[in-house]
Amino acid sequence: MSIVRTELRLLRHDPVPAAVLVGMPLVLMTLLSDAMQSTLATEGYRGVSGSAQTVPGMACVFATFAIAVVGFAIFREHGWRTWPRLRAAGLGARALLGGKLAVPAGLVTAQHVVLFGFGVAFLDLEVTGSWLAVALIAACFGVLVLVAGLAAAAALSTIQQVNAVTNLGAMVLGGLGGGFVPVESLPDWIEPLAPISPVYWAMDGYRTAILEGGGVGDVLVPLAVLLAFTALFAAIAVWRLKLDAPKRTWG
Amino acid sequence: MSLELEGVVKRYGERVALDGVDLRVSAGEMLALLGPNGAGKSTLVAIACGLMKPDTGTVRVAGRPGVAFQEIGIYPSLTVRENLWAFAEVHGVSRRSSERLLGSFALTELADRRAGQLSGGEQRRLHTAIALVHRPRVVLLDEPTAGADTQTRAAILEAVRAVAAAGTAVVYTTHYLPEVEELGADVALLESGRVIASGSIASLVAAHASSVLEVEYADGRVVRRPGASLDGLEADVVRAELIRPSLESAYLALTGRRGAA
Repeated sequence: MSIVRTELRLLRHDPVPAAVLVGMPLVLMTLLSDAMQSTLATEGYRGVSGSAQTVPGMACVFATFAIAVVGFAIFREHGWRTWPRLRAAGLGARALLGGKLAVPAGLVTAQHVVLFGFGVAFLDLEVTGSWLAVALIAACFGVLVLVAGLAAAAALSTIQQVNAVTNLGAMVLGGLGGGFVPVESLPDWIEPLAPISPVYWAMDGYRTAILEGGGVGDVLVPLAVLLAFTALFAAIAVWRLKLDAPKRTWG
Repeated sequence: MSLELEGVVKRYGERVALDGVDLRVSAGEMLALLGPNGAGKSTLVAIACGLMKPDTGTVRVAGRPGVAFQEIGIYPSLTVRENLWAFAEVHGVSRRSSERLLGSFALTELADRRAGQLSGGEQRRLHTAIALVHRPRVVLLDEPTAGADTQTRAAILEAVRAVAAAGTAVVYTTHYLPEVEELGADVALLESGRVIASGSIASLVAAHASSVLEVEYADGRVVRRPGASLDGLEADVVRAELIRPSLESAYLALTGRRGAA
């Protein structure tokens, strides 16, 4: 808990990055929802709000930035030289990494609550299927990005690498997986590549629950794939994690 | 015994950082660990605080030591007070108890200022104070006054004396030999990973120190010779300094180098 308290204090002193993670997708959702309505209509979803694409899409893309939130939380302790102090105080992997994941987990949760709440309240988002299915997909995707952040922090040695990997995850895999526009709207040659992105599976589940009236039983496949991705990232984290390995930051 | 190292060996690849080090520090004792750069002082501190494991040898420490590494380790975006709280919580002690250190380290007026806005000396004081938040029975301070201003140095030395008087064992690495004399600490002199001399300052001075004349010539040569006589000096002397029997001259005799002034 001590690490969580410190993380919360750090967040209180510098809330701007967290606010951007929530505020920026709100702006993009608002700007793009009308345009996305016609895109969805051409795919046969007539009369539905474009927010059915933009809300889950932006939630996925911007949740992916949690990779950097987790990575930076670990790397900055190295930059501030507080990491060896914490280690010398006897904190092991569970206390340190658990503490480092807790606040980003809260941020991702808050991000999803705000984005979906805003979508329902102001962008006519309607979930035709199960809200529980939506919540399960959000939870699995949230856990996936947090574990990916841990894997990035474990496997990478510089904060610039963490930044680059996060941008790759959010922009490239987000775009490839249908986070910005539906996969069907992407160039034909890209569509077969989309399933390599976890965002594709999250969006597949969201679409089933939001647009096609699906329940939990209808999203089991995307949930299973998201869990498989999570297991892969967890394996990378366990394999590469060396608590006292040096990390280079901006200093 | 509060801190005991027996036969500690640590290698980095081919290089031997510590080569069979034995050290014992009792409650209330101050031990100054001296030695040139690369002698193994920081490695010894890292091993004593559990951050590094020795290749061979044993380390026994009473409780969880407080440690201030050579490089300042603080949260720059938190206030001074919050920095103390953060590490108090890590050690499971009350936040209020950690605030006693604000006065000891002349930080009371800076308590609500962000640590990143402090001067280097103020940050150094906070960095050292953090090592004491949990009232450790052993404190390891790695060059705590490196680059420090007069006020910082005085505050740190006073705090070291106070914690030792309260029964804490203090291990203190430094290049500043006058500081060690001021503290009256016992000394262990480390060179190339070995303790080459140890004991009280008086015993080291008695055993190893004599007057030395250090002469610097115009061509940059520096020559040291025993005794205080100026006889026989060449003409192009630009500086001649007499180093009287002291920890400085003992250090010079043992290592061939001078400590920092």
